[in-house]
Amino acid sequence: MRTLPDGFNGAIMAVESIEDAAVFLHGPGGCRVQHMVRSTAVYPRLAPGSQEDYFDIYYYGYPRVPASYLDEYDFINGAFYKTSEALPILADKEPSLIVIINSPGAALIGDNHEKAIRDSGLENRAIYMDESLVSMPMTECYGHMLRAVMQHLAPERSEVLPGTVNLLGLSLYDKDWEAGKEDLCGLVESMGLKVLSTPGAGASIEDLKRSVRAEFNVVVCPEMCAGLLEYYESKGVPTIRPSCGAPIGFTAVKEWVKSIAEATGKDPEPALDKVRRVERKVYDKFMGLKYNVLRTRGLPFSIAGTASVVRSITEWLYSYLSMIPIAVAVDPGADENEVGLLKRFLEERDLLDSFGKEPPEDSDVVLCEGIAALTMAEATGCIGIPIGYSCTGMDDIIPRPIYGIQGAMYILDELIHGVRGS
Amino acid sequence: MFQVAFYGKGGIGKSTMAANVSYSLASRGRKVMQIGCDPKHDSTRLLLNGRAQGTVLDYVRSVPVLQRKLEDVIETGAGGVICAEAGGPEPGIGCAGRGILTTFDTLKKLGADSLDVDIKIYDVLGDVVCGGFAVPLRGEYADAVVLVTSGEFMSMYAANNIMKGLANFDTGKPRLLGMILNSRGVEDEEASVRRFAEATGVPVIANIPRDYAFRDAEAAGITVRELRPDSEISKRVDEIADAIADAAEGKAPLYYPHPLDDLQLSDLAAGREIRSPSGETDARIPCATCSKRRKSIRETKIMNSCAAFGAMAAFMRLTDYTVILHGPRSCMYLMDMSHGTVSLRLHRRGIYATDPTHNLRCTMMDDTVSIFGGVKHLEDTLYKTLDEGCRKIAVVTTCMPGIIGDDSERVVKRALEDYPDAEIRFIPADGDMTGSYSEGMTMATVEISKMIDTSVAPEPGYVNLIGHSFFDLQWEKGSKELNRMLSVFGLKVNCRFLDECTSEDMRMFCRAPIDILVSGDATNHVNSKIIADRTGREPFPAPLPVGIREHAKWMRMMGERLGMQEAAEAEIASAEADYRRFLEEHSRRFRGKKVILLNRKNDWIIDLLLDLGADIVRIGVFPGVRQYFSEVTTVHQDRVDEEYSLEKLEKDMDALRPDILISDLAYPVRGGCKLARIKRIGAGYKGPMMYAEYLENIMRIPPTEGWKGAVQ
Repeated sequence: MRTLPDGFNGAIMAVESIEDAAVFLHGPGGCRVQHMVRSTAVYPRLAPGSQEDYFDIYYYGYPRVPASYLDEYDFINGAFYKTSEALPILADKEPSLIVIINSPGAALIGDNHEKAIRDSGLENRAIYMDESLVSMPMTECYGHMLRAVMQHLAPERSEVLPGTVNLLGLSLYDKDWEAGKEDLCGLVESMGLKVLSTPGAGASIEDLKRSVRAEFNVVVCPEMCAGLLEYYESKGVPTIRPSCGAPIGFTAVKEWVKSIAEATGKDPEPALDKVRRVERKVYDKFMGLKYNVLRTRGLPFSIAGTASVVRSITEWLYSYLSMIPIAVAVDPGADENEVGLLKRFLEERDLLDSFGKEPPEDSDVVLCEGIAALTMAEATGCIGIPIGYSCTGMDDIIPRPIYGIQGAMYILDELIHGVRGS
Repeated sequence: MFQVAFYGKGGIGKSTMAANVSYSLASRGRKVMQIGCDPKHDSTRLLLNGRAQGTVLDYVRSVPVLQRKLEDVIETGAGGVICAEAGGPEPGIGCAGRGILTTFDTLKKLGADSLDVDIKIYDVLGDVVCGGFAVPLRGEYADAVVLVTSGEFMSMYAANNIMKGLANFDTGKPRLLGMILNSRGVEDEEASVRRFAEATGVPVIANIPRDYAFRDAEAAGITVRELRPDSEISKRVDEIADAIADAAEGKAPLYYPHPLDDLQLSDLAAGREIRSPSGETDARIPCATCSKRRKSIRETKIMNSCAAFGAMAAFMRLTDYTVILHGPRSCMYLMDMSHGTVSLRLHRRGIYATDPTHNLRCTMMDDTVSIFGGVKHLEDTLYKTLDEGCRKIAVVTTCMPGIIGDDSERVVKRALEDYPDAEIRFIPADGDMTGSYSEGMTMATVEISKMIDTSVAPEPGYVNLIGHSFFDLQWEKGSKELNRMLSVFGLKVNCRFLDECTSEDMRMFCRAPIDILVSGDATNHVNSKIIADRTGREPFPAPLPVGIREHAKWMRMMGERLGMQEAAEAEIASAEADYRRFLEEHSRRFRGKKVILLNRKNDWIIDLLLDLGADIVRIGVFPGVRQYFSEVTTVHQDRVDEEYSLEKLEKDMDALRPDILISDLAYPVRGGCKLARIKRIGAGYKGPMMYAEYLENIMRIPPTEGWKGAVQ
C-alpha cells in the first residue's frame, strides 16, 4: 500500500525548499521529526560546525523545522506563548523568512500568529498559514505555499531580463531533485538562456524576489506549481507550458526543449544534441545487450504518481521499450489536462482499462514513490523503480533523478538491471 | 475597507442589530458586506426577506474545491448589502470555531477580499469560547468591535469576557467602539449597563428600547430600519451607523476597555456600586488567570512522537491486525515507518516477513470532517475494512478527532454489534494528548494483553519475551546469540510481546511458563506490569543480560529456576573463559586509554572498558536526555556527572585530553580524540565483545573523515 503526503506535508517542504527560509511548525513534536529528518536529508545546508548553534529550545539540537511541541494543555489553553517565545529565537538564526505552519490539530485552536509576529517585530520577515492544509493535496499545497511566500515578498516586475527563465514545478519531493534541477538547467542554458530561479527547489529569497523579472516561466511539473503559476501570470510573466507533460524520457525531454526554444526564439539544437548523443549511446548499448533489451518487449508495468510524471513515463516506456501499462494510478491533485491526455493515450491503444488501478502485487515492474517500489520489489521480486517522494536513508550519490537526460538513463538502468537474467 | 465585529451573548439581538446597521449604512451610500459567524446562521435573514441563506460550511461540505465559486456563497440583500453566513456543525459534533476559520479562508480563496466593499460587518456568536470565535478579533479582521448587551448580568458577563478576549488579540491600538444597550425590560436595566460601561471605560453608543417594531419587522422578514425608516428605533440605529462611519474615517474614538475582575463582577451582579479594580485590568494586559498559565516551552515535556504513533506501532506488529488511523492523511504518512529504510532492511534480510505497510489504513480526515465531525469518515473506513473481510481491527485516534470530540468509540461499538464475529480494539490515543509514543504503546499493550487466554496451560521449554523494542534482537548476530543462550536450557521463544506475531500467539501467551523482559527500561517494566495484571504471574526477575557479569547472574537465576544449575555453571565457565581470552587478546589496545562516555551509564559498557584496562575519565549525562533512561542505574554511579553540559565537555576535552569520546550524538572532538558511536548490541556476553572490536577499529582510524577536510 502506498502512503502519500498531504497539503500539510507539502507546505512544510515547500518552505524548506527555500534556501534561507525556516518553518516554525506549530504542532506536536511527532509532527516535526519526519519533516526535520527528511528536510535535512534531501536538502542539507548547514555549514560545518554550526550544529551546536541549535541546542536551543524549539530546536533541541536539530536545525530544521523547529516546533512548538504542542500537548494537551496547549490544545485546551492555546499556545500563543510558544509562538511569542519562539519567534525571537528563530529570528536570531537570521533566516530571511520564517513561516509559521499549523499542524492539523493546531489549526483547530486558532492561536493568534499575527499578533505574535507583530509583537516580535518580524512583520517583514515572518508570515503564517492559517488554513487547514490537510484538505489540499500535497502537490497543490506546495505551489500554494510558495505563492503565499511570493505574495508576502511582493516583488515588482520593474524590468524584464531578456533571455531568462524560471523553472517551475521542481520540488524537494522529486527523486534526487538536485540532479534533476541540474540536468534541466543544463539543457536550458545550453540554448543560451539563463535560469533565474527554480522556486520550490533550492531558490533563495533573493532568487524569488528576482524571479518576477524573468522573461518566461517554464513548467516542469504542472501539479507542483499551479498556484504559483497563477501568481506569476498576474505579474505578467508569460508561461511556457510544454505539451509533453513532465520532461521525463528522451521523447518528452526533446519536446520540452523544443517548446522552450519555440517560445523564446532560441536555437534548440545544442540541447537536442545533448539528448541525441545519449540516445545514440543507449542505442549502442542496447544493440550489445539485445537479449536483455528483448526482455522489456511486451513487459507489463504498473505506475503510480503525479499525473504529469505518470503520463510522460507511460508514453515513453510504451513507445521506447514497447512495454505495456497494466495499472496506471494518479495521485490526488492531478492536473486535469494531464489526466485527459493520459487517458486518451491509453484509450487510443486499447489500454484504458489500466487507468485508475493501483500497482497490483504481481506486477513485473512497479514505478512509484520511494519505499513502496522497493518494498514491493523485496516482497515479490519485481523490478521496483522509485520515481518520487524520497525516503530517508535512500539518498543518491550517483545522480538518479527522473527528470532530464540523467532521468531517462536512470530509469533505463533500473529496468535493464532488473530484467537481466529474467 | 473598515471591518467591524458585533459581539454579544447568544440571543441578545446581535444579528438584528447588525442587519439594521448594515441596512442603515447601505441606505446612506456605503457598500456593505455582512458575514454571520454563528452556527445558527440567521444573521442575514432580515436582509434577505426572512429567507435563510445557504451557509459557507454547507457549501464546503458538498462542493469539491475546484468547483467552488464566490457567487454560490454570497447573496445581495436589502440595500445592496452583500450577505454571507458561516454556518456550523450539528450540535455536539465538530468544532464551530474551526468553522469560522474555514469560512474566512474559503471566502478569501474565492476572492471575497476583492469585492467592492466599504464596510464589512461580522456578526459573531456570544462569547469568545475558543480560538475560532476569536478570529474576527484579530488585527487582520476587526478594525473596531461593538458589544451588544442587555441589563441582564449574564449578558454583561459575556461582554466582559469579550473585552478580555480583545486583550489577548491586542493590535497595539484601541479597537472597542462601544456598547449597544439592547433593552430586555429588566429592572434598572439602563442604570446597570451604565455602571458596567463606566467601570469598564466603554461608552454606550446607543440605547435601543424594547419596541413592537422589531416584532413587526421580524414578521415582515426585513429590518426595522427598512420597515419604519422614520421611527425612533431607526434613528438610534442610524446613530450606531454614524459612529461606525465616523470610526472608519478616524473621526470617532476607539477605546481600550478595562474588563472587570471577579470581585467587580460580583458587585455588578448584586447591583452594588462597583469597587475599584483589585489589580491592573487594562485590556492591554492579558487577563488575570493568564498568570497561572504556562509561559515557556520549558514547562512542556518534549515529546518527539505521539501516543497515536506508539499505539499504531504496537498493533502494526500483530500481523493479522489491520490498523485504522483516525486522522488526516499526513498522520499516516508521518507514522508510516516504512519511509525509513530500517524496516526495509529488516524486511530485506528476512527478519521481517511482513510488508511494513501491510495493514495500515487512514480515515483521511480533512478540514470538512473537522468541522462536521469525523465520525462518518471513521464509519466509512471501518465498515469498508470489515466488508473486505478483515475481522481483527484496531482503531487509533489522532489529535484531530480528540480536539473536536468525535465519539469514535460509539462507532466501534456499533460496528461490533453489526459484525459480532469481529474483534475491534479502540485506542483513544488522540495524538499526543494522552502522551508520547511510550504512553500510546502502553495503551495498546493494555488492549493486546486482553487477548491473552489465561486458561492455556503452561508447557515446559518455552519462554515469552517482553519488550517494546526488539531492535537489538533483530540484528542477526543478536538473535543467534539469544537463541544459543536459551538453548543451554532447552528453551524456545513462544511469543514476542510485541514483535511480528499474531493474535493467536497472544492468545497462547500462557503456554510459556516464563516471561522475560528484553531490557529493563521503564516502558518494558510498565508493559510487563500490564501483562502480570492480566496473567497473575510475575516476570522472570532479571531482564535479558548484557555483558559478562549480567550473563553469569542471569544464567544462575535461570538455572535455579529450571533446576539446571549444572548447565548454567558450565555455560558461565565457558563464557568467562571466552571473555578472559578476549581480554588477553584485546586489552593491549585499551590499556591506559582515556575515555569519556556520554549519556550512557549502562553497566555493560563501563564494565567492558574497565575490564579492558581503559581509564574512564568522565561519564557525563546531559540533563535534557536523562529523562530517556532515568530508570537505568549503575554500580558505577560515583563516576557519573548527572549535570553534564557542552561547556563541561569543552573543558574536559582540553583538561582530560581523552583518547575516545563515546556518544550517541556527533559531539565535536579535537586533539586526536576519536568519536565512537554507542552501538546497539544484543543479549549475552558476546555483544560487548563485538563492541570492543568496534572500539579497537575506531582507535586505529584517522580522527576525522577525509571528506570533512575536503571542504574546509
